[in-house]
Amino acid sequence: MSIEVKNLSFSYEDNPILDDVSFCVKSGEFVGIAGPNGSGKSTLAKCLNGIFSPTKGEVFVDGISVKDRSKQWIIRQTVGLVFQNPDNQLVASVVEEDVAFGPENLGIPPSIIRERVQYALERVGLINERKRLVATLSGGQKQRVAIAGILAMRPKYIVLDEPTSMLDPVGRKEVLSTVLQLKEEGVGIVYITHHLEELVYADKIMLLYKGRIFKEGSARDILTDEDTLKKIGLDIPEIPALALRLKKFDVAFDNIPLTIEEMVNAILD
Amino acid sequence: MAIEISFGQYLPLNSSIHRLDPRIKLIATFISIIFIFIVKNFYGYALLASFLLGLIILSKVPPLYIFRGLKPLIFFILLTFALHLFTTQGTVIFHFWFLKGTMEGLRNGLLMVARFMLLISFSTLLTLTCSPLELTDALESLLSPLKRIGFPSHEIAMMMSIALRFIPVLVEETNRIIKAQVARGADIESGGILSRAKNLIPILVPLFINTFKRADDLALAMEVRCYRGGEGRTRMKEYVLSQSDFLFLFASIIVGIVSVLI
Repeated sequence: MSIEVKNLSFSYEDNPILDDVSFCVKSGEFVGIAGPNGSGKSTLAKCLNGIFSPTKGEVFVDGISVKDRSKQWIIRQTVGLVFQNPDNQLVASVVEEDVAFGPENLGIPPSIIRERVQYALERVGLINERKRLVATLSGGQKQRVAIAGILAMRPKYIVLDEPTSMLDPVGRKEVLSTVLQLKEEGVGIVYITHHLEELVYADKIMLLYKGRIFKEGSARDILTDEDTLKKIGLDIPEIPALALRLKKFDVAFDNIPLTIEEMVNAILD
Repeated sequence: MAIEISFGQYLPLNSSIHRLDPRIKLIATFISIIFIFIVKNFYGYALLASFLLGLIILSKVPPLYIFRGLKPLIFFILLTFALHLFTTQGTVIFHFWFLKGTMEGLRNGLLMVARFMLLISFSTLLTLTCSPLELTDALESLLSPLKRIGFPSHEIAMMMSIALRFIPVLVEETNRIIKAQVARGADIESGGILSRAKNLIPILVPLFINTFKRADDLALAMEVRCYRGGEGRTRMKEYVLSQSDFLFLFASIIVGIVSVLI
C-alpha cells in the first residue's frame, strides 16, 4: 500500500509547474520534500490527494488513480492534507468541534465520531484542551488541532505543506515530534518544508527545483551536500554546516553528523 | 486604538438551565418574548418577572450579568419612559418646566420600562446559558423543515458558525494592520468624521484582501476534510429531548398565558 507518483506533470494555464516527478511513499515512511519558493512544492501536495488532477502522468493512492472522480472522497479521506496557516484551516470555534468536522462530513454515527475525536486529540496531546476555544490556543497547539482534525478521518497518509513556517521554535518542535510519533504508528508522512533541519529524521529527501526533482537521497546524503543545496538556494542545517567546517580543520568524521547528539558522540569518539 | 471584544457573553456553568436543549431554550425564549408584547398590565409583568427570577436562580448566573445586559440601554429606556410620561393625555399630576406629567403617562411609561427590561433580560439569559455553537445548531435544526421548500438552513448555520469562529481572528488582524500603518506614519485618530472615515481606507483594504485569502484557504481546507454540504452529514453532538425540556417549555407557555389573562 502506497502513494505512487508516476511521471507526474502539472500545468496551470499553460505554465508548467511540475515536470515529470516520480516517487513513492509507503505506510510508516517519512518522505521530506524541500525546495525554494516557486519550486512547485504546494502544487505537488495538492496533486497527492486529487485536489489538482495531473496534466500528464498518474498519482495512485493505494492503487486508485486520483483522476477517478467517483473515488475522490475515499482518496481525500486516505490522504490528509495539513496546510501552512493554522488559523485558516480550523472551521469551528471549539477544539473538539473542529476535530469532529471531518468525521461529520463522512456521515459517521455520533458515538463513533466521539471515539475518533478522543483518539485524535490523544494522539496530538491535546485531550485536556478539548473544550477550549481555538482562538485562545498557541500557534503550535492550533496546528496540532489541525493535525488531529485530519487524524480523526483515519488517513493512511498525511501530507504536511510547510506546517511550521508560521510557528515559533516551541510550536515547531511540538508539531515535528507529533509527526514523528505518527510515523512510528505507521502513518505515511510527506513533509514539505524549506527548513531542512526538520528533515533530519526523514527516510528519504527529495529536492524540488523548478518543478523537477533535482536530487533525491537519504537524509545524510542530501543534508550534507552543501554545494547542491547552495545551487538551489537552500541553507544547509547548522550541525552539518559546523561539521563540514570542522572537517576543513582536519577533524575526522566517519559520518557527517546531522543532530546535536550525533555531533556530541562523534566528538567524544 | 486597539479594538477589544468579549467573545459572546456565554457563561459556561453547570446548571439545570445550561443543560436544557438549546432548541427548547430558543423556542421558550421566543414564546416568552411574544407574551411580553401581549401583556397589558402590571400583574402580568410581575408574574413574568418572577418567572425570570426563578430561571436566573436556577441557572446560577450572577444577577450582575443580567444587569450588564441592561446597562447599555438605560438611556433608551429612560427616554421612552419620559416620552410616555409627558406626551400621554390625561389627569395632570405634576408640572416640569413647560411639560405636564400625567397619571396615564406614568402608567404607560412604567409598563414600557417593564416590557423593555423583561425583553432584554430574557434574551440575555438565553445568550448567557447557550454557547454560540449551540445556538447555531439549534437554529439549523429548527429551520431544517424549511429545507423542503429550498431554504438553505444548513448553509446559513455553517456561515454563522464560521463567522463566529473568525471574529477573534479578524479582530487580531485589524489590530495588527492598524499597528503596521501607524508605524508607517498613518494618522488614524485625528480630524473630523469625514477625514477619519477616509483614514480607515488603508486599514480596510488590506483587511479585505487578507480576508479573501483566508476564505480561499478555508474553502480548500474544508474540501480536503471532505466537506460537501449538509447532505449526508452527521453531528457529533446529539440533542435528545428530556423530561425537563418539556417541563420548561410547558412552564413558559403556562406562565405566558396566565400573565396575559390576569
